[in-house]
Amino acid sequence: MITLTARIDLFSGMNGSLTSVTSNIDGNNISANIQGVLGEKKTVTNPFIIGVNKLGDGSTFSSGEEYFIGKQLADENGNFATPYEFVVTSSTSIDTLTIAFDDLHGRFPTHIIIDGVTYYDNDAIFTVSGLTSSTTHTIVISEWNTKGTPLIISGIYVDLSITIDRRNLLAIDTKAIDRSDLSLPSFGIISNGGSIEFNDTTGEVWDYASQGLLVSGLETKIYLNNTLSKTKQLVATLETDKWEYDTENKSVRVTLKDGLEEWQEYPFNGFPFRTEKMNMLALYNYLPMKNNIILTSQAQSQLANTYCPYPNMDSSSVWGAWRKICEVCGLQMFMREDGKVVVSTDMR
Amino acid sequence: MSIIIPSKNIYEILEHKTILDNSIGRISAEETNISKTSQSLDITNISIFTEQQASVLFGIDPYLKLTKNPIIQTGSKIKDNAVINSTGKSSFDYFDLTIEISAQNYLDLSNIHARIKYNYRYGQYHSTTTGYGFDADSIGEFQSGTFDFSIGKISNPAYILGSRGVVPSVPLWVYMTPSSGSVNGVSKVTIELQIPYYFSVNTDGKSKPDTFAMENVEIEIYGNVYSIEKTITNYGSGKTYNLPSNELTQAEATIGDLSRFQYMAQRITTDYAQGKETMVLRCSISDYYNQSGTKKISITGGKMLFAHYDEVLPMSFGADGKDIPMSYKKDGTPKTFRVLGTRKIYDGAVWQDLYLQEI
Repeated sequence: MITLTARIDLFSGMNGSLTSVTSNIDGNNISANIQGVLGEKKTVTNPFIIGVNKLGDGSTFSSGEEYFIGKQLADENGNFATPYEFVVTSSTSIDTLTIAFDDLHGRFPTHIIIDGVTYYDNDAIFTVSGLTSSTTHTIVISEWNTKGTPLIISGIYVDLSITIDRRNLLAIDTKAIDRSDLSLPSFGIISNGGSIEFNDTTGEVWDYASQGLLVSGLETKIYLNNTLSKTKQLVATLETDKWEYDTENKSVRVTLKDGLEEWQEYPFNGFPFRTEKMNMLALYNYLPMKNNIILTSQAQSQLANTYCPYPNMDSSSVWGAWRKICEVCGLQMFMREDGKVVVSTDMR
Repeated sequence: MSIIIPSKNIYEILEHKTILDNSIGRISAEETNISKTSQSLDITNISIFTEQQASVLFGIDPYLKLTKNPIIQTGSKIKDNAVINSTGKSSFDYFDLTIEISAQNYLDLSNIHARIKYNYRYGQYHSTTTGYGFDADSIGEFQSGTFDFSIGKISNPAYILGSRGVVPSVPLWVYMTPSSGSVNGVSKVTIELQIPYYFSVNTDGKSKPDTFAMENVEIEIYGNVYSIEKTITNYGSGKTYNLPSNELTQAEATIGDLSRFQYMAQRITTDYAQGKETMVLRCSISDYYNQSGTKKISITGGKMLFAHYDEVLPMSFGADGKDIPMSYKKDGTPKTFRVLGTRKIYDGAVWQDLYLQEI
């Protein structure tokens, strides 16, 4: 089956990574490949690694996936006889955690105590931000929303992303084009974008919205997947722009923009008027962001062959500076699907 | 070699412009013309001391800190950090001259030069008492002169008035900020003239050798000013395409051996003389092959989709049910197209839209 999937990174790597999670039950490290630490660990080929196992990829609780089941069952009041206490350790200080419980059956703790502060939970994927930044955090769970069932943790994460796939995807639309009018030459710079619509049946995204995590500028990657051949190709690298949450239908729409658009917000101080003739390739080297740019050989030749007798550029945005040098040399600039900025020429 | 898009893989033709009224025959552009003029930028007459004040200076107690009351003309300001120390060495007055350049013009700082006219008064040489210095009771001699120098490149002192042993040796410093490049608009060039006056005393506390004071300085600044004008340049006839313009699109800019405008105009009018057929096709996600039968796009891995600048040959159903090229050139050869944009869509199924322009 051919399908599109998307991944929106709410946090990625900048918050460090988890190195271990230990419990008060027997003190073992539950991130290690050891059975029976908290109770029962399913025996499968791959070890369960807290913080690595993926959520929302459509197979979280299918056969072969791994998670932890506590030995205790919640009593009539939903309490565990011995509260679970976990100590999460990370490589660097973190202030954000996501804990995934039993999202298949909608079972989760009614409240969670982290570092002594009580947080109320209303769904199976719990996210908290704004913790006191530290390399260790203590999580206490004593109540469960479904009596007679055990604690299930399917993952604890520092990195946080929204995965959109065939389970919840409604629509994707992404475009990368180098000009606004197909029938005309193109000189300058153009940005592209797109949109994604998806269902939020688990309420996961609503939690993120409540936490203020759905902001502009989140990296979003869209892939083409062939589930039969298990191959995929990156088709777009964009950033989130505006979010809309339809609370009635529990659906989300997010518009996307490419990274070039942000260049309109970065200032460029200009290039002072000079009376010496200057090669535009030399001027190109004064411009910011050039390290992220793929310059085609034709475009490089065009830059090298273009001379300006009185080089000067007024102060502007970085976008404006690149637009000018593209215009004078007959070049075009756009962001490719893989997120690379290309400077090419229409003057073939 | 072009990649074939079979008709069965084209779900929908979203747009197809086959008419040729988009041919481009005329290029128009607003270009920047820059002309150079050498002109006087500023003339400032700075009265530092009146003759009377200068004379008084020779009578004050050199051990006291000097209090001056210079007369400064409009257009100048004084930054006075003059200090007379107890041994009476030297002190300076600094005068800033500010030159403002209009937003339309540029001043080339490498070509600025100045002419300075000066009048200064110095103590009378007194050789009978000490063998050097000046008469303690003299009200000083008067000297005037003119000198020219470039202040684009700073070398200090810019000029030395007089020569030691006859009249006081007076170094004159000139600074310019910024010292290179060019300025325009609200930018300012500040020229700082550092004018010294010396007071010193003999060991008897009475005589004052090496005593002088600048009375008056007149400065004329000259520089190359580059004036900017916009002109419209045209080429050819027919449907017009306007080239974008900015401060770099100058009339004297070149690409190769041609003026930039000529180069661009000729290339565009040649390339677009017959117009460009364009189309937007909604295609399926599938395997695609080139004209020699080599698979170029594979849904099972590698390159799974069309990409920018791929060359393609779109096909349509022929009369006999076989695929034939969708468009032909005047000479009967199939038209190939270049992918200038792609769009990926999921609306229950996955599609790729191709934005194509005739090669």
